[in-house]
Amino acid sequence: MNDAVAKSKERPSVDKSIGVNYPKILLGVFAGVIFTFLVVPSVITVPMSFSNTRFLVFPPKGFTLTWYSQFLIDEEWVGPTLFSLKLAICTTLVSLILGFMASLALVRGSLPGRKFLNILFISPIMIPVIIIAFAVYGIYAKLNLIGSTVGLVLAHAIYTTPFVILVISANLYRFDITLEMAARNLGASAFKTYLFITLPVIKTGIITAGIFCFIMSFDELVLAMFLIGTKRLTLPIKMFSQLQFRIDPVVAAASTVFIMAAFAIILGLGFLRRERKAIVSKEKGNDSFEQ
Amino acid sequence: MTLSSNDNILELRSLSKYYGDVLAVNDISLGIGDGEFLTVLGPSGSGKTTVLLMIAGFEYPSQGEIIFKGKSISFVPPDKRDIGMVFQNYALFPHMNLFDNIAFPLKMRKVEKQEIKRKVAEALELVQLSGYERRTPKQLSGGQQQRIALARAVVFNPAVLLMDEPLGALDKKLREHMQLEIKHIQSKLKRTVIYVTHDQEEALVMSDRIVVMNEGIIQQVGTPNELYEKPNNKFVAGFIGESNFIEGSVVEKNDDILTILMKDQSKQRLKYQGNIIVGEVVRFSIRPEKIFITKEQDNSVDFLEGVIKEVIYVGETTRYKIMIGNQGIINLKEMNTLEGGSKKVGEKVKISWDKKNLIKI
Repeated sequence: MNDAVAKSKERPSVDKSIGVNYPKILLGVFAGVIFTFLVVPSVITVPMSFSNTRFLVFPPKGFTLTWYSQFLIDEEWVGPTLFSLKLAICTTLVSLILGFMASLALVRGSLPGRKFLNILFISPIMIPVIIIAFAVYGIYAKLNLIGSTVGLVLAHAIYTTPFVILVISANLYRFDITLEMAARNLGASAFKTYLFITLPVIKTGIITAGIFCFIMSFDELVLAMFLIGTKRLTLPIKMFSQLQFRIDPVVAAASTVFIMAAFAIILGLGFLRRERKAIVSKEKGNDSFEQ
Repeated sequence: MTLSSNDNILELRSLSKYYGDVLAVNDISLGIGDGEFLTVLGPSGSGKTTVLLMIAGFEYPSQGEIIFKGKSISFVPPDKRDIGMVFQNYALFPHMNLFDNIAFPLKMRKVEKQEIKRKVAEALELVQLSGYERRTPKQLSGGQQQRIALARAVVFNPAVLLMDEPLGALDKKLREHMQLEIKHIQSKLKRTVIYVTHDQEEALVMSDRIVVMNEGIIQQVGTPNELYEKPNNKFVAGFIGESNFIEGSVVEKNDDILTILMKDQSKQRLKYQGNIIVGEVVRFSIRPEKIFITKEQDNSVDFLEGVIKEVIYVGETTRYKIMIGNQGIINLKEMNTLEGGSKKVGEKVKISWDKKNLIKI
């Protein structure tokens, strides 16, 4: 019986209405337009990255992988890329730990003025990055932190942690506290309860927040420009300065690599989710035993 | 009420709990015997869940002590208590399959792997869900989830098992089925159970003893039979089953026949066995099924006279609402042994009872 219900849900009234389903087509077209609008500007760099010219041109001419090899081998590019990766990973870790603890305090704690604190923690989202950058620059100059990796990680964490707090707080609000009570009752210490119950249950939220953080930090230009000092470059700074002086297709190649990486992550997450659903529905079909 | 005896596995001594200025539990003392099925019964807000949370260690008492196996555990954290608990919403871990759910308390106690396998299989067999190890909680019905929660709570052999309205989310049929099943499992494992519910029928069916709570105070402790037949006060009489209350002052006593001056100034004659003095202001309670309509030709003097106001046919019984005097309504329940609903609305009837069934409270 369940199967019948599920099937009828999947195909709502297609068989009844002979003729064209105009609303559905319209919806498809609309979605397509929006998709194009959002994605095409990024994807346009893909063909350009193969162009056999010394400048960025569209439509591309010829075909070469030179720009890729340059991006992947040339120290001028590899250095900033690795540094940006390191920066993004560190920022993500710091931000997740701080954000998780702050969310716990905000959602579960009994601090007076929690609502005010919440707004305070979220406020960096609303302040233009350049203002944060300027303020942090002033402080770092005094503390001698300009150019230090730790300094840059912390500055990025200011920028990314509010998003972590938003996502994880939402997850914690939905979290059923009796799960933790049950774990404690069954013999788990407070720490083990977080480790084995709380964290795994809100795992999706944490992963989402982590990906957010990583991309935000990896992509960040303004804070980095203010605070990077003179010795090193992050990838966004490198790309930015490259575009100012010499518009060659390495930038397009770099972009393409990251578009692909982003695609892979999204697809991977999608597959993971679908696979889990498939397992669940398959096992559900086996029987519906009661008593 | 037993206090401080050696057979008690768990003792509550003058336990109180404040939430801010609100007194949720007010000076409770109670002993729970080893192997006993004890139900804490009360309406919502009666403090029954707070008592349970204090025993489990999720709330610490403001005053008083909890003694478990002879030691005070009032401030011991919940994971060090070795007291199992079944939650109302089951609280199964959604990211683990059933094996891992049931194995969780064993893993926390660092039990050896083979032993875990054996014990989990045993627990699943106990709740008749063998072979369900690989499923996730989401794939189970409410009743099945409840059984897994039970299996998980008993698998590590806690001396006391707490159950917080464990059947509240199930439909009536399944609830009745699970009541008996929990009872069977309890007697099989010989485990002490403290069961919290607001459902008086459930309490009567399952318990060795019932603690009735209201407004943070224990109203009465006793076996189901004692509570039903000999309620201490109006709350207990009204909360467990139904009761008719008759209030007034005694103006005359003649052997077992009392004459009572009721609120509406009418005088009624009641059959009562017990100590009472003329002039006393009293409240009596009597169960609807203990009252019967006397036969027409009955000439005895000990009856109340009234008019039938309402007849409700409920299958196995018929309920009558009978007006006595000007305002007193008496509920009467009659088994439909021969035929149901023989009396009509508006009919004048005489009602009576066995004198020991009228209880002064």
